[in-house]
Amino acid sequence: MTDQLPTLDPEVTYLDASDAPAALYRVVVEHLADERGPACWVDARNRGAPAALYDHLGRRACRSLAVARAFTGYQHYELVRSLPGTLRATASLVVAPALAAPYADPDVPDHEADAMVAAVLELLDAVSTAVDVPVLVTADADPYAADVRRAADRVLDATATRMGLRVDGDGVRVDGYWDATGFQTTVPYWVDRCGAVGCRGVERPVAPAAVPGV
Amino acid sequence: MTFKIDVREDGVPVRWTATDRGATATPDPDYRPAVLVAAREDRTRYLDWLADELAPDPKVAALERVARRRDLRADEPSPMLRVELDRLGECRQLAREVRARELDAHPPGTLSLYDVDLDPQFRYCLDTGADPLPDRRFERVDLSVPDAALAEGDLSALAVDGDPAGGSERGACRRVERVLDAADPDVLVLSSAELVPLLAERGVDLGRRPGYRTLAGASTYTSYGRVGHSPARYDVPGRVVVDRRSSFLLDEAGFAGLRYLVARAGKPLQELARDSIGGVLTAIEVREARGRGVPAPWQKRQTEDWKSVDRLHAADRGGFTFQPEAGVHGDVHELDFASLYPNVIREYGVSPDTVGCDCHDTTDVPELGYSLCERDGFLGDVLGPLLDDRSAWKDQHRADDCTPTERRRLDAKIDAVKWVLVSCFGYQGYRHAKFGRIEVHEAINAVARELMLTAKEAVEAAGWRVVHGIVDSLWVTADPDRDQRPVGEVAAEVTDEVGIALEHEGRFDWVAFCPRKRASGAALTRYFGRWADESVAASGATADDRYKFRGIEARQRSSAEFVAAAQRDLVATFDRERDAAAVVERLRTHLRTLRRGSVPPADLAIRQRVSKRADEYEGATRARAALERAADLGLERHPGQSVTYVVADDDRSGPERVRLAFEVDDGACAGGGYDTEFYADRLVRACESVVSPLGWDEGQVRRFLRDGRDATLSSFVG
Ligand SMILES: [Zn+2]
Repeated sequence: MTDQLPTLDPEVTYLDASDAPAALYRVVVEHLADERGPACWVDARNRGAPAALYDHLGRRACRSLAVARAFTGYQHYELVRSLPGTLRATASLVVAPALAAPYADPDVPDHEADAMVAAVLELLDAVSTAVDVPVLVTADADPYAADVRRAADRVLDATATRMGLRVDGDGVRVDGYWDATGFQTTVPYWVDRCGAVGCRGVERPVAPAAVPGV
Repeated sequence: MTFKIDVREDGVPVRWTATDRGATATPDPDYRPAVLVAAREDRTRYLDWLADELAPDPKVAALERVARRRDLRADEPSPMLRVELDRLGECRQLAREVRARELDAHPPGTLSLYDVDLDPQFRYCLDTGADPLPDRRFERVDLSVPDAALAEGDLSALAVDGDPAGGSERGACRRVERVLDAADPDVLVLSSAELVPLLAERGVDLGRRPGYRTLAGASTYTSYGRVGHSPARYDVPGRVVVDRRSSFLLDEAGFAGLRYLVARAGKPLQELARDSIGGVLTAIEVREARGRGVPAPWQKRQTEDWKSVDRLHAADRGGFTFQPEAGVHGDVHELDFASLYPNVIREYGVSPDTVGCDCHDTTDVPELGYSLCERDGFLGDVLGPLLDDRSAWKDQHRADDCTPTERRRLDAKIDAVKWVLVSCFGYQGYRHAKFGRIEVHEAINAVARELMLTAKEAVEAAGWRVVHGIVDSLWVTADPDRDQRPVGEVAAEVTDEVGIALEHEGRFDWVAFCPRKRASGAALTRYFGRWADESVAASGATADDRYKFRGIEARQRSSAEFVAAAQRDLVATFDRERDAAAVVERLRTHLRTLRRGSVPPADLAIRQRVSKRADEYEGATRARAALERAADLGLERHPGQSVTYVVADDDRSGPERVRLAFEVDDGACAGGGYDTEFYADRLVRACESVVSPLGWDEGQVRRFLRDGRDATLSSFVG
């Protein structure tokens, strides 16, 4: 079943999960099933709440995740800026859900928010290239959603159908469906593959010079 | 000394210093406020660039390179540009302009700004070391006008220090002038700051010099996720204006409490009085940090540490809970850790500058494994004086020679500090807390949970059984199969072991824990119990308040007094009979009183905080109806304020659904003007809370009311 799903490449992938919020976790869990390296989750709007991650990813897949939460736009910006120094060269994925939501909060003045969102989109693009790592982003229905979509190298659309979840988009040759048992059957697979991978600490920071503007 | 700072039109501060009888004004034209700027990774070329940019700015008086620590964890000072300004009150403007210049030339976040959003008067005191308290008592005058009269701009009902001032507007104005002349007050406590312009229109100047200034128009804001309303603010020369409507602290802590917090925060009374608790904590912390060479960050950029999901999960756990079985327990002792969270902060040194320090590789924080540095933590130094003062006042309060006046003053101060202490833990997790750190919030929780477990194990080892535990309290009863050591002795041992006082609060003859309402997942926080004789005697309480209520209607601020009183009576019945049917039988008496229409409307008034404007409520709620009614009557009510109403006809949706409290006070709708069935429903629910520990639910209460004892019994049997 996993061969029907979109594979993530070292580029910025925008997942429109507004009609199927669970799609974010499904795409992540499928990706982690194939990849050994640690993943970084730059959280916003509580998408990375431990309960949600355990529920959707399973306890053992969670072990390859490192999470940091942004409660303001400024913190989100600083977290993204810190990625080049934080990511190991072996990193397999960067996830940034609700990417622009913290910048749309009223406590960030518009002109600053505009500049920070633009910089963050550039940074993520540079990170994906420099570290050779897939970057998966989603957006809430905020004023920056269109910018996030436009800046992505690739767009995937998730829909919840009666038959299960469907993801369409560039490069997905067959529409992937997960039914209620599809998730379950993949569990032993990635547990086997990634169970023992740790994700903490800075092993070998990527040269910051590889990322412009940093 | 300098109890009030006026800011002149030209930006020059004028300090008002108390004299024996009065006050003198001294302008301070040499004072210059300053903003600090640091660059990412301390790259000074950005500071040089900014200095060049700002040099021609007429607002800027001087530019200087200084060294300050960027945050509490920094070991070394960083180079910063100190931008000195000509006028007090232009700091935010300059900061916005620096941000705009930065965005034109550099990536966002190249510059970090400090000491930007401080109240000008607080800033002045911080910078000059001016003491914001007079070395004598504050002379105060209290002016008030009822809301309804104020809405019509009618000052004839004005009262001075609680006494009606004359009955006519003219008489009231003359009276105010005479009182100001005679008392020469330092502080004006006003029922609404709108009195400043209203009195000025009538030729009465409230200040020590003519005129007044409008500091801010009315506005609505969100803080801590709650909507608040700040009424317009006015300033008069030489006197402190305290608006009762916008002073949470005056309400909760009284004047003595306010005065104490002015001293602790170093923030002048007028500015402190309208602060939230978070604002007071910020001021105290800003001052403490300044003393440690750390300026106040404008936009906090410090981020959370990267965490594994397991650690995040462990850190996300709330306070200690030990779920009891709902029901009634006899002979129960309550044990409480006194001020648990603040004491954890101080005794265990949990602070933004100690948690996860770089210099120690220990795993001091249980479950999370964070290290705790051995150095004196910032937060402990912030809270230490508050904790010490509070316990000293409690000792004075207990002393035999303490006069009733002195006791009241001590109570006010004890309350003021209590509010700050209970908020300090939550504030650490607040995203805009200038010196807050999420890991500190997590560590406090983890240490506190560990201490509760230690206490639980100690009492269990001494032959006691824990029937309930939550956050900082344990309820224990004797294990029938074992011998017990005295519970006070065990508490003393725990106190010695953990360094935080575990106090034996008292003994209950019985405690009843209510089951959860539906499966909400929340801990059991609704209970009631009866203190044993020796505990009642020890607390000096009267026989009337020998019951303790938590979370049930009798304790809720929004309950009508009639419902609360009926519930207290039902609890007394519960105590006598220990029988659900007898309690519900007693409920009939209250329902009859209600249906006779003989309840005074004031006892039916419901007080509710308004969270939105009338047109923002989805659906027809009572709060919305009350707001619409207030608007019809010309009375403004804003989000953040409260409305008090009696439900007149709950089936209607418009302003006819309710009557406002002052209408029923006037007697305008006395005589059967309330919705009997609405209040009957509230009574039934209050009754359900009382019988729920005995296993009854609302349906059984209603069936019993309808069918009587036999029918209910038979419904159990078959
Ligand atoms: Zn250390």
